[in-house]
Amino acid sequence: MSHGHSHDGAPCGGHHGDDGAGGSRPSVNDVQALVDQLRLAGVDVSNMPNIPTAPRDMDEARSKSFQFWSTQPVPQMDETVPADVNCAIEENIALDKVRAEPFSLPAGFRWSNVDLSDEEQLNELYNLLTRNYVEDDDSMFRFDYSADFLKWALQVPGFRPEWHCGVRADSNNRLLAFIGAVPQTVRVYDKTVNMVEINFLCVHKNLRSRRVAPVLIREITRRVNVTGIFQAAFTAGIVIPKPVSVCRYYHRSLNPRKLIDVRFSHLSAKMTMARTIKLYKLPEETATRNLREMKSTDVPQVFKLLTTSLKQYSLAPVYNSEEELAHALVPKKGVVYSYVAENQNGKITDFVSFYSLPSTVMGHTTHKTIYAAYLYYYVAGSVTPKQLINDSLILANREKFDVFNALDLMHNEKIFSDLKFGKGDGNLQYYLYNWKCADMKPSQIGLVLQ
Amino acid sequence: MIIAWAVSSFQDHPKNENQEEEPIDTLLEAKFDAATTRLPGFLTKIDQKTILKFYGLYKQAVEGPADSKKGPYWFETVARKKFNSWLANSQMSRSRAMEAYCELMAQLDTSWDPDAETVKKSGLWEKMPSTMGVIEPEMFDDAVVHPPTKLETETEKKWFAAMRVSDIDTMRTLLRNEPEIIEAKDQYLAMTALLWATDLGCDPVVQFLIENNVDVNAVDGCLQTALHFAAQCHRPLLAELLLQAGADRSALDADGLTPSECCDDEDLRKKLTP
Repeated sequence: MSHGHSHDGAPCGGHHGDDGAGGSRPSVNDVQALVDQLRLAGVDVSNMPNIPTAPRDMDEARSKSFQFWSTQPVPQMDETVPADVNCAIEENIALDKVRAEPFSLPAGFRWSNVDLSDEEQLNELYNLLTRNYVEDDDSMFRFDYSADFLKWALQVPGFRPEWHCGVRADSNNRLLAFIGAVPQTVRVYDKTVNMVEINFLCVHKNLRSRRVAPVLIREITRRVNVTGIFQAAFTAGIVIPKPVSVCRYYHRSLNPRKLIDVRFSHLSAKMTMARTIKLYKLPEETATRNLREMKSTDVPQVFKLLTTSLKQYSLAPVYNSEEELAHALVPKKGVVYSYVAENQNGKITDFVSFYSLPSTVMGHTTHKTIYAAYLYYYVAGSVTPKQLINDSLILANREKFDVFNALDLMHNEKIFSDLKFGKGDGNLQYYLYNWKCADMKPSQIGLVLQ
Repeated sequence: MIIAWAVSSFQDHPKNENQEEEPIDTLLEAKFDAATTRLPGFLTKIDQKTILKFYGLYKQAVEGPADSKKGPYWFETVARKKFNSWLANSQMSRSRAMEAYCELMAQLDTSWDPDAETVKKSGLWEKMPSTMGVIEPEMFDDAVVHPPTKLETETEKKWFAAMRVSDIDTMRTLLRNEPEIIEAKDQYLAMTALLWATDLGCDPVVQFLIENNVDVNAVDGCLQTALHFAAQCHRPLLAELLLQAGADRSALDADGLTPSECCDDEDLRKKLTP
């Protein structure tokens, strides 16, 4: 066990678990692995005292390819959590009991923090995330996270360099995998929890067959745990045990001709391009009076406005300081766009924001990029959400975005049809790590993750 | 056991510098992935020797050659057995180990056909942009949906389908057999192929139709000409083509508008002004 080859990857128990070297102190997983080894060696473990045996249905769950997640503190896939349950799954571990040494990687690879303040490393991360596609992949669009976007999303106030966790090849020092975490206080129903948001998990195609993703998840969990944080929030396109909510993207064409040209959307046989262009045409001017770009000096008012508004949702961020909010919302060209409406008395009554996340168009001769705006946080105080979002369509159109995207969370769904949003083809699952609570409808979600 | 260990540690293994190796074939990887998820169902039914075989191949396939110097001590019997079964495959490439794992699984699970596996979309973790579906008139409150005025014939269906994908060869054949099809109107919006091709930007089709003496001033139900469509869809190249073929700048649609009056692109509007 002390050499790290004793139980990882065994076709038993954790089967192909990737926990690498067992720590100096036996963990639950280590004990489980020991049991598995004994069973493998032909020992009948069912009569042995004080050694847990894996339940049969766990094997069952593993065979459904959730081998990794069945070892993690997440609700079971088929579990229905009652409304009065809202708590951690595993108790917090004493800080001196958290594993101190990193999990082991396949030979030839090593851990390496990615310093986003270093232009070269930032560029390496950009290349890993945006240029790393498999040639025979049939998807036509890939996210094109800009360097500024990555800094915005990852270098939030209170960020930690070791949470920008990379894997490099020893031989040539190339960055081949990454996972990021940022601190974020989140309220789940009536409980406010210090969490991290996990994002930008990416494994280079050359490393994909090496089962590195589970190691990255375990390692970032460890690095977060050592700071005394034991919960995380994240979103993913895939379904794993177990989503707290399943949201759906909706899209509003701003530049329908381009979107149809690149096959982002299609025309039915009953629809002409001419008519489509006409239907999606937006007014030049916004309808909300005195709607203007947000400034740093607006932060205290927006802080109060948004903090109050977010209380209506069951899952929402909690901004601990004006600094945190300023980082998230003060406009940064090409990254985040925020607008406020101010009345005659200088009071801010409404606020809306969206962020920029373009997509690369694969293999198109004239168009390389779709410029997409994503609805972020908003508070409609003096006008309806419909008018405020329509104004943000106008503003996004003015900034030359091709499409405006929004999830069906908050009150968004009610306005989609009026504002000519079309349903997207992909779901986005919301997950909480090491937390158990009742499922939420999309309209209960007030947390937007990039 | 100790002899095996001693021998193996003196063997000169290639160093683990295979990170620049060719990526594993994605289809092979998909088969291997499928095989690994099948194993747990058989663990209680197979002997320990076979389990060790699977283990050794799995480790070789995922991690590459074992480092003989980092194996467990000989007295860690179970661990050593597993390590040795990994070490035994050191000369195998990772791809070969995946193949061997799949072959072993196919023997074990006769109901499994590895060749039936297909490559799944990559980006298991990487988020993929969502895309929008088909734009239907029903999506818009103010849309007026007309029932089909008449049904297209089989030939007309082929004609319009070929137009949408700019399949000139098929259009040429259809036109040769049925010359009047050039002015045929579709069943939904009563538009000719020229109007549709201008609207959708199928430039080669417009070119082909003009060469075959299409009526460049044919109209749809709202009296819009191809030039009206080129104007609204900002297609300057097609507008040029149509004008050269004799399209009428002063044609009025049902609202009494000329093509240039339908256009909100400054440059194109100038070009279209009668």
